Amino acid sequence: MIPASESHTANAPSATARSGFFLSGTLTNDLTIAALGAMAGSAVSYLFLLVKLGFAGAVFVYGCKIVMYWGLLQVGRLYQLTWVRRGASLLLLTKLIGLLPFVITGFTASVATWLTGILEAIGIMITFIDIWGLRRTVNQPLVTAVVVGFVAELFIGAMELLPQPVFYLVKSANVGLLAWLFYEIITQNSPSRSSR
Amino acid sequence: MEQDKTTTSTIGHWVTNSQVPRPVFIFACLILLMAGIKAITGGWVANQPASIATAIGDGLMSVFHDDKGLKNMTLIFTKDGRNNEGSVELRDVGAGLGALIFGGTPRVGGKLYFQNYQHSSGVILNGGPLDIELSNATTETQKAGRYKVQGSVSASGSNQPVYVQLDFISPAETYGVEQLSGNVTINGKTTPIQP
Repeated sequence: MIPASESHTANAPSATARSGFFLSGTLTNDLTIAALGAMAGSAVSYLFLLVKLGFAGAVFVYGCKIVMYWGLLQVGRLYQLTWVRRGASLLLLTKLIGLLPFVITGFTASVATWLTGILEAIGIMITFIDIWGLRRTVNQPLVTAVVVGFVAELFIGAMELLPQPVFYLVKSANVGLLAWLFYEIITQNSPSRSSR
Repeated sequence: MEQDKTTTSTIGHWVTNSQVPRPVFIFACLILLMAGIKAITGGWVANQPASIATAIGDGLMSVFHDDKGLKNMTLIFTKDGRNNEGSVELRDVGAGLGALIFGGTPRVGGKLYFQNYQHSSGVILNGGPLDIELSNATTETQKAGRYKVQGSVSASGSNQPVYVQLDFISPAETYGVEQLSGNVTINGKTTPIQP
């Protein structure tokens, strides 16, 4: 783990040097969209506990999840974290497979739902364990909290340890921390902070 | 970096000492607000017959929503399912062979049990079994199921078992409870439920 994280420190990101790297122009735009999307999706999915939002709400939450995973992919590319990149790509692929049960039913949909669950768990493990390497370059307690939070969420979800409203609170807290990490990365890579 | 005031410009002056970005702070407040609403409404609303009926409908649909096996109704033999919290269970779900052999409307039945199920309206349900009958209510515009529920269950606020006889429709996309009708009998008093 330690030699790996040192190699991450060596590849200090140069956000301004690579144009065409970011879909919406700059790192700031990309990660702001990812952070806001993640938080909006999480807030709406919490709202589901209080009111029935219907199909449109479910699609919105789904789209926001995709935006969040895409933000992770951009972070992986920026810091050249190979496994974050692969994990985030896997998560995006999972979200595409997960679209199947929206349109079809029956045995194929059952298989798709089952596959989605397993692949998403693998993707989250890969991604968030490799993000651990960012502890050297970005805010250390924050990265630690994000990694511990997401891995814990995975286990709490699989073992059904907490009642639903509390589990949703854990999920929201994790999304909040991840959005904070995105903002932290933006602050670190903005040109005015180049002295760091 | 704690002394660098220019970098904390995104943070409101009322949280100056914290480094939480403002959108994250707003998000956290929003979630805590909703958690508060959930906590208050979760233990506050009285036990009306209508909320008991809704709680039973929502409880049944939470099993279909949460249980991945039941979700797609790939029934070959009988099947059990339960919701995320494990507080609602649907046992012995099976389809009649009559529709397959003789042709006709396919029907699915099962038995519904509650274990300390807490509905968002504040109703807490226990016991069972309630007889469930599921039939297809798909129209041109939406895929939906029709659910018939009958039996006794114990609900918080009533010292005798509550006898219910309910009928509702649930669209496949939302797992919502729509057009709920039937009768709820609490302490010998029967209240009709209108959609």
